[in-house]
Amino acid sequence: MTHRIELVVNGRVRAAEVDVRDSLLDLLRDRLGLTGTKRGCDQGECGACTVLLDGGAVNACTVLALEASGRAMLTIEGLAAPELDALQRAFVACGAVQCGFCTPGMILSAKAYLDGLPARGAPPSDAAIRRALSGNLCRCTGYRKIVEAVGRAWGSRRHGEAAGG
Amino acid sequence: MVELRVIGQRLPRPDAVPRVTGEALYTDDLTLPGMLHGAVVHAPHAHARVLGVDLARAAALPGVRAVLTPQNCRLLPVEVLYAGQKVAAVAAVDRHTARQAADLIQVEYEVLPAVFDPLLAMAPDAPEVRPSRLASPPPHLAGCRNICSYQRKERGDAEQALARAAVVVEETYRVGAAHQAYLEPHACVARFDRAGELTLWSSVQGQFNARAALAAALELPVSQVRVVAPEIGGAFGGKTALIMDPLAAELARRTGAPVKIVMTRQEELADSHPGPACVACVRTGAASDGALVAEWAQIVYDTGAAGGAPAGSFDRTRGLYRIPDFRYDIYSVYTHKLVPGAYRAPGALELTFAFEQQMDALARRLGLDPVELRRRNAVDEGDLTVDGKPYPAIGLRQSLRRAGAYAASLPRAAHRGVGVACGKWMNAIGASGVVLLLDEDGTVRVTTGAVDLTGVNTALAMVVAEELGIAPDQVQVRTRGTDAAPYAAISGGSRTTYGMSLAARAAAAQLVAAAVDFAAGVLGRPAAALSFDQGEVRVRDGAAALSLAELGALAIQSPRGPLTATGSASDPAWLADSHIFITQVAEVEVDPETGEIRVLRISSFQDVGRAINPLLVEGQIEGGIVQGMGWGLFEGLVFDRGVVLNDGLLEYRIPTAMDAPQLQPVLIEVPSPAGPYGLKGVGEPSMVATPAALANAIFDATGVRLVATPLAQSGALVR
Repeated sequence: MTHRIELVVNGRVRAAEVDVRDSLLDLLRDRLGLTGTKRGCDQGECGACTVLLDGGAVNACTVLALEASGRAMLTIEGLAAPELDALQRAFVACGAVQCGFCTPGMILSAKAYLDGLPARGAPPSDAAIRRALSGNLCRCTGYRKIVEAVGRAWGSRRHGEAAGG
Repeated sequence: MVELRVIGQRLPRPDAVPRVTGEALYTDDLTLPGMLHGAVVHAPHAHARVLGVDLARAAALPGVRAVLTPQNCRLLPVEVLYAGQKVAAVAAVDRHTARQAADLIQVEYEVLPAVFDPLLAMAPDAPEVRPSRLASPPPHLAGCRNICSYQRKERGDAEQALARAAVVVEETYRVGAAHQAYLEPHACVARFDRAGELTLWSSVQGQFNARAALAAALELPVSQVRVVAPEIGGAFGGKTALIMDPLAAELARRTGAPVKIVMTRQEELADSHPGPACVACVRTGAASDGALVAEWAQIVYDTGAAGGAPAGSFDRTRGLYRIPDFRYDIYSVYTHKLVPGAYRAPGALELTFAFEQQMDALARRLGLDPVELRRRNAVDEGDLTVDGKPYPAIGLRQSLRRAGAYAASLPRAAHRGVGVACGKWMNAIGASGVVLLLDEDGTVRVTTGAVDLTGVNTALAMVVAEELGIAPDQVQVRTRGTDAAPYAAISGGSRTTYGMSLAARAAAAQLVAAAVDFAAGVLGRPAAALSFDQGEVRVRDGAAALSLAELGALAIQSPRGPLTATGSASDPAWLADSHIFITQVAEVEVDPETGEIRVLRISSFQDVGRAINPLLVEGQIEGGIVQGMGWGLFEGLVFDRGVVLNDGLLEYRIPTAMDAPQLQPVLIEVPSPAGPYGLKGVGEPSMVATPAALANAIFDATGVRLVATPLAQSGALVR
């Protein structure tokens, strides 16, 4: 019981044969070989499988693969293009990466949050960042350096925009 | 202290880059040609005999390649001892089919009587989980059942001393079992090649002990088993034992194909090795000036269906205060539940929760500040450990002083409380070895067999760079599998950076000697005329010098061959003489109407000896604090007749970014005499004192002492 679907992943059109039981997470990891998106619980509770679907953050394990037909998504593999994105640089610099398993999902949730902020607003507060990331569990870091990294990325994205980006 | 160039720098981990790009490979990211997927059937009963297994419907499913049952596989039990125990396993062409086939396997059980409470399990008429392991039980345990272990630590006469004490505080404390909840579920891929060598890729903390365990389970010689650990997504002590791996290997053997098994989150919470539950009844006595006179305790760990609870950690985690007379009886008792294991400083958090609330309660009774009471009794260099050995230079007083000053600086506010708790741990050393090779471009290649759990590879690059006077990015550290790397103990026990750095320092010294010796031949000078400094061999009168790159290239082409070195460190006693003290200060706010507890900030004053990389050390400490907060405040496995009820991450709630408080890690450095650069192990201690600090803070805010975890589920704070 497979169906052929087409979708846009990280800017490229991809085709895949999907089982009706496949989630978007199964599609990405098992059909398309994009293993950067992680499976932490398969129940939509940990956020490790967060991807951006038409710009919005979703837990890929809660989306049926067939639902993704014809849509566009961004996974962690699509972020460095080819240089590391501001969030990726900030996570590395701030020591916000330990085991790294939550990291792809955490970075994409943070990206969706920062992308949604007004261009000329005030820096996001500690509490606002924590709320935005509350769907992404991390067991290693205690979150302090992750929150710091998101704040730092906001700053360098702003600087990049101000510098004529 | 010697001026260090690299040690002490806040260096970001080079291996963070592949993690932020998604390139880092974890075990479930691996796919091999022809690979099958395995799924496991778990028993629903806590104690039962397996009467029969009906495979007809499962075997008829297209794509099923092999099924293991107790009838055809010794790895599976005929008597189930805990709900969740594996009773059958199937390999199929994909994950969906494997799971479907597992669900179609019908197992017939004869349900047997079971016992779930360790205190009840000790009764002479309790259902027997396993025969008691005590060869000759002491009189007070005669007739008791299900006792896995018993230990008494004693000095003087605690009963007499308590009878004479001016003040005695007595309480019973209960800590529930908590899961490590690493984000990456256990995963393994097993493959037999045509020559009969078994390779296992697995999410494990120790490649070599996994190899030994797998070889024993499959009855293979160790030389025919290879273990390769890919990146690991968290462990915290929960990935030291094999879980699905022997079944995956057996399925691979029978099908002739590689087999992957990945645990579901439900399986993780019901059938792995969580931190154990513990009940501690403690009596602590003091003189009216606060000097401790005696302490007595009965401590019972619930060790589930097999020995696994870390009941032997008492002296590793206590011994913070001078107590002339004491008696501690420590038991671990079998019950029909899953087998616990290590969770970051195994056994320590449970004890600290009890003993550090005792100190707080004593202080209140005596009208003393809780920090002052601890200060009056704190051990220092020369005082005795629980086991009667003298302490070397230690950091308890410094940590108490800094924590006390901070706590005293906090403004008081209604419904807010401040709590203090101290903790102690000792790091292990374990077998540690590295191999260095100087490459033709001057790169120093470091081969290690230790799983990089906590950033050890970054630390090794820094140590080698420091010793050779080069930049860290001129050092490349690679973790290789058991067939290619020197033996290493498990990564854990706060030993990895400690032990591996000792090995790396020794190897670097050997490489320097080899470089000088080789250069002597090249330059035509005696070795005594040469010196090594900043990555170069120099002639002492300044005439000539050879860089590591030049030496590397020359050596590789020479009859002597490439410059290599080895270094190792170990101690048969496992534990290093390295005592880590920590004082934590928790600030909470308690809603007077609802009893809801908000944790505002947790500050941790930890003696790290010497921080090789403060950025990484802070990260370890911050993570440990939040794990300790989770265990103390709202985590705990909930059982109904031995069945785990909260087997998902919604029901087994771990701290989110919103739950985590402000964190203030303060690194205190009292150098360890034996540790590399004075370093002490860091990874574990930071979670040990957190639940006690929180409970003490809640008391400070409300006047209510909560003696059981999870603290947030006590009804005692609701008006």
